[in-house]
Amino acid sequence: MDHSALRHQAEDTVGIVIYPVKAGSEIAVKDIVTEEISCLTVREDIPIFHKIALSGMVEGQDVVEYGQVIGRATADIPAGGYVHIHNIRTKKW
Amino acid sequence: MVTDMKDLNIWAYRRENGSLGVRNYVLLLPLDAVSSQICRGVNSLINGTKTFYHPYGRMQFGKDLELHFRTLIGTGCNPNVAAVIVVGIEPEWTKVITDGIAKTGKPVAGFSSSGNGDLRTIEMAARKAMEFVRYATGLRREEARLSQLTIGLKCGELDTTSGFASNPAVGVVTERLISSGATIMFGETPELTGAEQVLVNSFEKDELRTEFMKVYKSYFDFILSQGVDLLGSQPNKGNIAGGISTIEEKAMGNIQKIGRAKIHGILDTAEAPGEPGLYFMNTSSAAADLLTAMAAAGAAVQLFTTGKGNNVGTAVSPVIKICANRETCENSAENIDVDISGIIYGGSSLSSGADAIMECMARVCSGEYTSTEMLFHEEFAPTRLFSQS
Repeated sequence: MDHSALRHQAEDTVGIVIYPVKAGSEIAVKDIVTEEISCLTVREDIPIFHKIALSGMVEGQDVVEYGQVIGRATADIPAGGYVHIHNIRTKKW
Repeated sequence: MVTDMKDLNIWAYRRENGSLGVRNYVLLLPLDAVSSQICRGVNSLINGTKTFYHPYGRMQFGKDLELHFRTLIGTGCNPNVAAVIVVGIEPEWTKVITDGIAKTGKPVAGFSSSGNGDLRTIEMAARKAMEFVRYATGLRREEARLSQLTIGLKCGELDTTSGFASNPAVGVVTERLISSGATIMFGETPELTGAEQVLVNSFEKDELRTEFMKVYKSYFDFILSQGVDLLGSQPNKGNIAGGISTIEEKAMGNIQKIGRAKIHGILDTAEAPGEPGLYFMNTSSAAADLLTAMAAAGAAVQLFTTGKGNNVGTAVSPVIKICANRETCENSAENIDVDISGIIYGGSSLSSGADAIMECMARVCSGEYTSTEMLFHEEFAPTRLFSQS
């Protein structure tokens, strides 16, 4: 299966989809550095290049991308869920 | 074994002071808004000249005036500029600019409209411009190397593809050219928010790390002192449409542009770097302002990655647009010079993306026009620090 999502690092809790993806579809996630492939079930429709949860996060939990904290979850997010400004927020302000 | 492409040959202009340019402009440089009209008059009479409008240059004072002078002098000193005619209202400030540019050894002349009126000033400047165009068009390109250039880096309308592909590919170019002896600058102080603790480890020495945190903190404190935050501004609407959710995510994507190269120095806005190496310049992250500041610091060419598409250019240095978002490469094809969306879909690697960028640089630095040049994106946006008196 060709990859439909990318992640930066193994510890990341979010990656991006590289096509628009539909809820219920099974997709392959490729690590951009190691090229390791893992599988994931999409839980919500996600627009092209937007983020997908690679693992479940609870409200208040740090969101990790590039191996770094890029914000915190403002709601519980299941693995395969759509991650954007409706459910994560900056930790700077 | 295939070895990395570390450097490429180019054909460029060697200036009187040894700096290396990739264009050969005769620049009509207005000191202030009013003098722009005289420059336009000369530009419409004399083929081979270039000019631009900016709204500033009157009643400025203190550090804001210093920055304005540094930006104008730096623009005239840029190695892409063969010769300069400065036009101002009064002779005193005009002379400050011409004297600053004259240190490069390139031909420069100043004209002031006070006591001459528009038409006589235009005539005097036009006669001098003809002399300068004859000089500039007689110059020839010489063989040189990409690594002998001063280069600016910027990203705009960043999206998630910028962080996955175009910025890391530029990061590989940065690593290669720095190891070959190039001078490279990046900036965007506001957009480092959330990645400042990661970036600080890229500085060569402890003193630089301390200085960087001071520069960054002073910017961050300024935001807080305004009683606001950057929500709604950083990330901007284009970033959010591109899937970027927080300023931290944008900043992490942004800093991929320098790869694993070490930062050798810190520059003030529009300040020229000294010896070769990688430099952080304290700048706004507004594209036209940053490109203008980098050109004033001597950038002969600038690498600009984009996700959702940003069509900005600048007056005296060609801007190469690099994009890994396949939709943007299709819907804004005329604005993109290097399409590296293959990195996202698996057709190419970061290393082959870096090769494509360097090959484009070599063509552009030998004379080929970029998209922004063909589309007349010649923005000139000097940074202001505060209101004039």
